Amino acid sequence: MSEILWQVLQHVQGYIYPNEVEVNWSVLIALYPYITGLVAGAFIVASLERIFKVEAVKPTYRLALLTALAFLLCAPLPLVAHLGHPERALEIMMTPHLSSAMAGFGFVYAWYLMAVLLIELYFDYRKDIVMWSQEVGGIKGFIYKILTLGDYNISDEAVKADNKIVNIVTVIGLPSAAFLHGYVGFIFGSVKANHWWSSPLMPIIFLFSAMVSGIALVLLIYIVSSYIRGVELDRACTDTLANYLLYSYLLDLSLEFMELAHLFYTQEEGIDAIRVLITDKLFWTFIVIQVFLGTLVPIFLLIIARTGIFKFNVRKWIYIFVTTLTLIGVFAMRWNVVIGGQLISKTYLGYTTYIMPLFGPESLSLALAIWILPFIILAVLIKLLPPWEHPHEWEKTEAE
Amino acid sequence: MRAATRRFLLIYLTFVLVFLMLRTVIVPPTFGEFTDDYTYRWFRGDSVREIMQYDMKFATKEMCEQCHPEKVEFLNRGKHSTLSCETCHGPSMKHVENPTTYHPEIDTTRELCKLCHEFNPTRPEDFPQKFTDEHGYGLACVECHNPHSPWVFKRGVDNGQ
Repeated sequence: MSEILWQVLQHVQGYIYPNEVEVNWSVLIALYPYITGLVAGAFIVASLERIFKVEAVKPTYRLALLTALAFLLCAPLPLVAHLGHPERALEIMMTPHLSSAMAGFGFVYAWYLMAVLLIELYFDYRKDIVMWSQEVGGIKGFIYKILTLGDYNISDEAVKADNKIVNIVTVIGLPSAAFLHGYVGFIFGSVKANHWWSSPLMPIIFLFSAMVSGIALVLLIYIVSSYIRGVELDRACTDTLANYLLYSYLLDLSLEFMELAHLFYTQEEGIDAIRVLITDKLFWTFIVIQVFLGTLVPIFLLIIARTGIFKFNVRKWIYIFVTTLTLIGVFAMRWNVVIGGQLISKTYLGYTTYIMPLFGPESLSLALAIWILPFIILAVLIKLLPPWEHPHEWEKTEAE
Repeated sequence: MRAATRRFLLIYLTFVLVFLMLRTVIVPPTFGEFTDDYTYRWFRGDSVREIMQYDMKFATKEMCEQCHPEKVEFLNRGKHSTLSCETCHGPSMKHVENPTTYHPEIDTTRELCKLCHEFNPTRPEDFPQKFTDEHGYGLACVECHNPHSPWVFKRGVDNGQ
């Protein structure tokens, strides 16, 4: 018996089935919907500008797309690390099976990466790639030359045609992003035996919390990257993003409230166990972090910021604080769903305990490493494909 | 169609074709062969034939009963009636094939009994979980309990002592 399992056994409460002692879906599985949610949320930020023509958020359009790509590339890593057999990772693609929602992931993922994000990014950047390929030399220039695919036509008609493709792909991409993340909620929501998970609202709740976390992430990256570049923040863009964060927060809050209200109103079997789960086992991560610090405090601060009583300089710090709280709060939500659902016994008479190892497989350190990786990828992507306005040499000199 | 779009599509098409070609190589030919819809048959058909070639290891309780009917009858009357002989005696097919030359080995230490009777909070409370330090300390379980019927005692010990 492993050391951890033995420790957990000392903390088991009440009567549980033997196979429920160990929490099999660990911190990595909590990280997986978190990262996927950030992808979907970041893409929705990008589509604000493209589909809904919110011109104010234009400065974050490309940044949001690159963020989505960087996080999407890391989205399967928690799963692969959890399963421990990377060489088998592609088998779900090779032998697809419609009766398994899990097996659907490979296709949802591939569709989103290949048919949505890459196409949208490529045709949005094509004009710049062609220009960079003529300006820049060395390895970078060589990469740009390959990326042009040998077509250097950036006439007005060509750019117009590119834009048309991007618009079409964004329209396809929005439901795809919703599907990508709704699907993650679907996996949990369709576990009939677990009352903490089983709910048709689950995909929608996941989707809205994904929007919350994605907007917060893009806003935070925008503020921090502007600081690093020594550039003034675009006030309209920052405030508009914060407003959208507030709107999606309100929707998310009401959806989560509805789910809890439904749970307590219907008083289904196991409700007593869920009550203890919320008030005792998940008190800190649910009540304190997710609901209070991760939802109510940010909503309150965002409303205050919206009233305009603070100057932009103060608002900026409020936004930094709010987005950080949001990112922590949404992770707590994933944790409460994934880990929380496994702490409760199917007997409804007992609870197990999750002890997170610091090192080794399925550990905190591995989860942190996977969490940091997308930021490194994003830094490389930003270096290669700068998402900022006016990135060309001659435009710089003109501006000066 | 413009060159960029055409070449982009071409790359995708190549990607899909390479994937399909890889798939024909990687997926075993007998995969999912036993049914049309693959439900519950999501494996390589040949694996069944390969497993059928293995030597059998377990003989089952029914096989034991053919030669040791009195032991099985005694077992069936006691608390261990639901156990198979091979749960404790180990896989015994070799013994069935060569009854005189091969005898299954049995672990008579406390370790074997601990597999079921070590204290574990997830077991029902009325299930005998006797591996506290006080109970029979230093003795093998089988020194007092008859393993075929644990409430039949050896060495003159009575129930409860």
